[in-house]
Amino acid sequence: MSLNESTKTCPLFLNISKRIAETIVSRSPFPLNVNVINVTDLQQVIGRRVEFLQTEIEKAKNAKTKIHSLYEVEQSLVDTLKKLESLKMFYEKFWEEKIPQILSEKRKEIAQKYEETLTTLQGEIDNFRDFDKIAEKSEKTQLKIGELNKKAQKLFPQYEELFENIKRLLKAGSMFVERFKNNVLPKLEKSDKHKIESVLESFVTLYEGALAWLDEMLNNISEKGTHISDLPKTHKTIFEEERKLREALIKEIKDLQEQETLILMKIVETSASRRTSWLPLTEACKIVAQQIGIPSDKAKEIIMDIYEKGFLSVAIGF
Amino acid sequence: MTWKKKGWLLISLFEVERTIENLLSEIAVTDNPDIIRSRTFIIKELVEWYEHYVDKIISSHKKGEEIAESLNMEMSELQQRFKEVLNNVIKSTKLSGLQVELRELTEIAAELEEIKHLLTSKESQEDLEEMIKPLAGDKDSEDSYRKEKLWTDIDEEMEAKEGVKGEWAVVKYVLLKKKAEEIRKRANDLNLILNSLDELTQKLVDLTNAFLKLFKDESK
Repeated sequence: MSLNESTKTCPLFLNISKRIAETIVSRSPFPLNVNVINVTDLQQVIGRRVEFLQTEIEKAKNAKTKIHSLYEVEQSLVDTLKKLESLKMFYEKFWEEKIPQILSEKRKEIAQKYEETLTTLQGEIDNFRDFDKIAEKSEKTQLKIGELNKKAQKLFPQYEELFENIKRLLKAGSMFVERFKNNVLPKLEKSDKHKIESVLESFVTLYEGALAWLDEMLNNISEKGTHISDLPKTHKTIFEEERKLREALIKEIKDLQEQETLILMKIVETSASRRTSWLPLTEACKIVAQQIGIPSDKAKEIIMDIYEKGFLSVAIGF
Repeated sequence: MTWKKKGWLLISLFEVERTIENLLSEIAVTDNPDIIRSRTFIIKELVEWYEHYVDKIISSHKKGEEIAESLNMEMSELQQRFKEVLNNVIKSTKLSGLQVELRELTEIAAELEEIKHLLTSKESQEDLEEMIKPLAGDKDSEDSYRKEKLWTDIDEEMEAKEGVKGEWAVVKYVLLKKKAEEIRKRANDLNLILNSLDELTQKLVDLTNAFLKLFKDESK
């Protein structure tokens, strides 16, 4: 569906209004076949004409006000549909997959109904002959489009929600770095802490940069309706960079074996994403086993080794 | 035309000329000194009156032409003003070829033609009598205001120069003056209405422009 200016309802209303005004103005004030008139009749004819025009101007102004109100609502709908389209493009380019079908269908349905409103109006508009009709019809059209606009507005947060997961991941990543810095880094004795700090800084730069970029993109779309064409970043480029930094971090940690480091990072990461300091041991074993791809017993054994080395605390309770 | 409070009489110049000629003939064939003296006196009086009256006719004709010319100009101005009013109507409708004539202007133009006709036409004495009757009353009827009705600006001027030389009027000039007054009154009345029409049609043009402007810029 095209959303360019020529397919909007307002120009249709404005064009027909202009035509009606021209028709009204070009009507001869004199009765047909009048060639000679006396001055009193002329005064009456002109007086009636002035009154007629004044009435028509008031009706036209009323119609124009209604068209302007319609314009506000219609512009809002058009903008929202464009923004939804931009969010869809952004999502599909970033994740390299289609947006959920239900969201896509909802947007299409709104756009379809808007198109139907336009088509119906295009079929009727040439029959409008006066400003009362224009005012009445633009008011009705505004109600219809207003309903569509409400639906589109409701849809907007659902589209924005599509980016919440990646934002949560990035925020959790930042929290992982912070926890790693506070809880793991001070306990390292055999590793080069400066190098590790440098890698952790790179993590921060990656997460915060990606988060800021995402926010800016979403803000540009929702505030300015920016059209999305090519993206400098996708989820792949971010995750690839993150993977390299993880490898660098694992390589720099000499106090633990690679697998121990990997499991420790998973535990820090999980607790950070849950915003908690403690994880049940059984659950920690299960998560580690799943994500690293080792049996749960083995995972428990490694976790206990890490604990033995002083990098984790194990709680005891009843 | 000679007139008094009790009645009036139309005398043509030819009649006066004939009378003088007859008196001269009488003198020519008589030896009676009384007749010669009395006729000579009458001839002298008549010739004086004739001279005075011919001057009055010439002045009246000249003045009549001036009045006709002035009315003609007023008429042109009225036509021009109506044309402007009509132009405003055309402007307000954006229609070309709108042709409407004003009945009053046509009537005034016809009356002006009557004045021009009076200046050149030669009516019979009977016709002139019929024409002056509505103003002067019946020939033998008494009318205290007859002088006011028949006295003209030319009489004023000549009286100022030469003194009173009888109650005589140039009928055509009296008729022309009366007609001119009527035309001028109609023209003045029309002029006032045209003033108001001018305002009204200007308002019409403004309203039309405002009306078209309402959607002109927005529907581009």
